[in-house]
Amino acid sequence: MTPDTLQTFLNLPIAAILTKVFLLILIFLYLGFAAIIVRQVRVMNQVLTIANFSPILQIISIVHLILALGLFAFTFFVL
Amino acid sequence: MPDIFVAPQTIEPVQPKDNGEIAHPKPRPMSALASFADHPSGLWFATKADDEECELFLRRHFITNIPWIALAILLILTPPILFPLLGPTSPIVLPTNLVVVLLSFWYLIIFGFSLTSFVNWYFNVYIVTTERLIDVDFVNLLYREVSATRLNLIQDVTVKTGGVIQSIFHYGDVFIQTAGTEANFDFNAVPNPDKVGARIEKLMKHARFKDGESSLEEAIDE
Repeated sequence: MTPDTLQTFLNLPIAAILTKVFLLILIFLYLGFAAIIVRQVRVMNQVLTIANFSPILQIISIVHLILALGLFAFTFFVL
Repeated sequence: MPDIFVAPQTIEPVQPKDNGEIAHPKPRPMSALASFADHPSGLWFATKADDEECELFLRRHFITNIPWIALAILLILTPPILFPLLGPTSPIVLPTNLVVVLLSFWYLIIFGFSLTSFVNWYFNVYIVTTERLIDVDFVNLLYREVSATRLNLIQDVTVKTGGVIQSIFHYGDVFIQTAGTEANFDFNAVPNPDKVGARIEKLMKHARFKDGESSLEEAIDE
């Protein structure tokens, strides 16, 4: 596929829909990954607590999940 | 003849008292990101017994994080370097919204990669207590393993250090062989491996003395 035909394809309305669906699926899978991180950090904090840093790590993992949710919403509504 | 080099003493030696009991220095606050902590306070683990005191807290040397940190920095810098180079000559023009989503997703993936790499390092710890060795293995997000053995079941302790990086930053592996069907323990890339090995041997001999497997003199001599 030459760049010109690719550009022509990208300008079609169906291409925008396909791109959006593809990205939504990818980000949805990533959301599952982010949720697993939150879950595992929580479980590991119950196994091991080190010098009051555990809540901070938990917050960072939740922030990561929220960012993934935000990107999913942005892609769904804006793209 | 004067000593050319005297290694700094970072671990307080455990001195057996006359009655065979080990004197425990006062616990000291540890940094959350420490790779080596001697008698740390502020550490709690699920299977800790009330009368159990933490002797050593270990994890891989921080320098072992450099590969993933370098990769993350490289990935962060890729779009700002690549886009200006491709921009004027690129035959394909993407909609701005799509570029924003793709870039956001790219940086989110780098965030996730860094977070999992850090969590992997942070939760992979080795704890030596007055009673046991505990090895917390956080292999990946879906698999973790916590194993422990009593000090009196340890048969042999082997320290292995090699390579330029390990020599410069003074870290290495400590292999602990246990009796019978018990799993062996590998403390990988821990700082001060010689001192860790010596401390575990000392505690092992003390534990054996407590169980009546060796004499008081042996425990004190070692």
